[in-house]
Amino acid sequence: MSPSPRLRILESATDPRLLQLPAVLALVLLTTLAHVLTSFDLGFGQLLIRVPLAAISMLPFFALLFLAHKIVKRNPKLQVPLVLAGYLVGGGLRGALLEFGLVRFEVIAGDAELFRIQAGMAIVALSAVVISYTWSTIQEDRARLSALRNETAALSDAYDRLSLQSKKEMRLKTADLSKEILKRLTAIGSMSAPKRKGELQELVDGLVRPLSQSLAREVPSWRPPERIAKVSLRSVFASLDPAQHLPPITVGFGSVLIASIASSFALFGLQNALLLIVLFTLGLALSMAVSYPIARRFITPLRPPLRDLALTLLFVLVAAPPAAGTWIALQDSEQPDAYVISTFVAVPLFAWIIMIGNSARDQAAAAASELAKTKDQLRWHIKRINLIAWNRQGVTSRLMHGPIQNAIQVGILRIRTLDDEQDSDQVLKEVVTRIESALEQEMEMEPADPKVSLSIIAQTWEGIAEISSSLGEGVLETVSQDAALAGILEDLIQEACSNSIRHGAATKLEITLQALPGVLRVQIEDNGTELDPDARQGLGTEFREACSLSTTHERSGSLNTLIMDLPANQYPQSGTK
Amino acid sequence: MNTSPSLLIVEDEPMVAGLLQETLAAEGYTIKVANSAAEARVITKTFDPDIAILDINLGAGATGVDLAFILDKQHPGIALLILTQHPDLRTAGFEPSELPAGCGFLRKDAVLSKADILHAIHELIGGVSKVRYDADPERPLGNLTQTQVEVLRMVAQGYTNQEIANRRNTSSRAVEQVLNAVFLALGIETADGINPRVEAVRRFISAAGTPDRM
Repeated sequence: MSPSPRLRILESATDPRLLQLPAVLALVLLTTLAHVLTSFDLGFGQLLIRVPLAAISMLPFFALLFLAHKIVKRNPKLQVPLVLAGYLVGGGLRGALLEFGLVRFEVIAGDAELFRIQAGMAIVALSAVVISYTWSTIQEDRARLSALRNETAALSDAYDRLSLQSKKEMRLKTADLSKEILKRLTAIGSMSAPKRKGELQELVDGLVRPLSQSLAREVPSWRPPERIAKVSLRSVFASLDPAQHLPPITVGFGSVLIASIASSFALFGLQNALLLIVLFTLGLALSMAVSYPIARRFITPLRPPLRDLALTLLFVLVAAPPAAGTWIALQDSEQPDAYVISTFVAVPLFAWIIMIGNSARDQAAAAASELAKTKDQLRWHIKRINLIAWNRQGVTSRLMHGPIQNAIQVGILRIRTLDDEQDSDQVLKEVVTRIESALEQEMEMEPADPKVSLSIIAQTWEGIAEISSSLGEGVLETVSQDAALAGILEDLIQEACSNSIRHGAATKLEITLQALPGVLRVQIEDNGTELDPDARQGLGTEFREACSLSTTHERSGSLNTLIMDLPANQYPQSGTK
Repeated sequence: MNTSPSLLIVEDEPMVAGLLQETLAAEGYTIKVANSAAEARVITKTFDPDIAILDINLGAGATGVDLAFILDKQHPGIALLILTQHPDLRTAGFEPSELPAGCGFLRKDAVLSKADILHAIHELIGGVSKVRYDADPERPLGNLTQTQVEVLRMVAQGYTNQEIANRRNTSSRAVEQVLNAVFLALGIETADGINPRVEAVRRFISAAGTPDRM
């Protein structure tokens, strides 16, 4: 069972891929930026100490995260709670180490204060959540797309191989074959009686048997899609759409809000901090309510880089009211502008990260859907080629093994007992007539009626097992227009019934045929013993797997259900497939 | 009252059926001919034969192996003889154990005279001894194991080693090893300019015909 969307978001937010280098660098950069932007009285000398100190103080965070994922590896259920706890504790450690370093290098005066631990917990944990979510979503999509692309490429190769093989063998049509056999037989007719025996045997071994691998004439055509699905940073930016990808308040701006106020309790007291929350939220809600509809309408039609500039400007504008809110809230303090710059930088930064993640997710979803569609089409065409090939070979094989080979064998047996060359001429004439008649019969054969086929199967097994059947709407039309499907259907059903009765001791079977777009569904329910998954895979299983789009076996109570979907007629251009 | 043994021939090829009928009728058997399993079932509603001679491949529908199973259940005591072009059941895609106990097996190519088939019928009706050509170690491909026959049959069907491995839930290396053992068992030398894979397939087709399905 796949996890719920909420749990999936939490799993992405605590994904071990946060320990990959690009994610580590992004997190270090973001947390360092957050520290620098929330520091007062910044001078160049201070920057030189603060930046490396902020980056190095992230080390305990990553060490702790590494340990957490080691434990998670052994117990995956712990991932969300343990890694989230790791973010908080690691963030707190980072705050403590940063505080220690700042005091040690005399960047700040006085005794160590606890607020950096709280701020570290909030800022680092939230940054980790946002970056982990975005990075793991992109990576997951890439992995999914890569697997899909490989699968599609393998199917495409298989299709090319099968088409080529079919086209090559198409040349050996039954008509050509019959001409060749008749030509050889005429030549044999002019030979002496003793020589005829050997030549006839040679005809069977050297021509008839090898040529019985004649394949399909009607190979369905398939063309790969013109546009190959691909997700790159360029395509992600190109398809970025403000109408769909603007970050929702709960995900993006909420985190900025919490991060900004985390330290304000310690620095400015409860009253100021609460006022700050109220004014920040009001400012943010107001600016989003006003600017988002405008952005959706006016920025969406713009093209990059104008669109990106406009979006950045929009986010700066969105940041203005909450930044003003922090300034108003802290008016009676020594640092009323403490959060102004950080809000102006953090809001656009977080917004961009989330927008890129959203766009990448949509791009990947579109590409995955395109690839899945291509994969479905390829699978359908491959199975259809297989079905036609099995049917054609079945027909050819029946002709070769049956009438043609037997006509010749009978000729050999008769000639063996003859002394008179005149009589053997007559035997040869009979052989030729019988082969011609068999080929003619095959050419004129109509697709088998599924009702008749099912009734023959029921009649064959009568007394051993009771076989009932029902045909859904459109089945007769589908099968009557599809000689290959009609030919294969009886063999498949007979094989499945034989299997259930002889190996599963089934005494009651119910066959249902259903016509779906591009598919004929065959369902066989029986009361036999459960299918042994380790049993030898016989010819019937190969046959079934080669021709069906999907085959499922289910055991429910004392019943087995086999469902096979066979490719019928044309691939559905639209509809429910 | 007619006391001569009664016989059912199930053969989808009328010429072979006719030839058999002509030969055996001269020996006094009461004979009925069916060209499919379904027709055999209809005939056996009013005709209780002492022996049924069955081809394996009966065209569309149930096979001779299916019919042997049905007749064995529905007509206890009936003698059964499979008469086929296959050297054994394995090359037809079945396991030897799939035939009912006591069912005989004769290869068409091994029937050199009327006496051969009459002998088999007599032995089976009398329950004297087993007629199992497919147990003869000298038969074509007789020295191959079940796995080797199965892999060779798939090679003859045109599958690559990788495809065979996929279908047998094994590795292509394992398939290669089986094929090397097949070449060795069939005495195919790799050094004399002959492609062993092609030669092995040629021998399979020569012994068992083209595999029924792709």
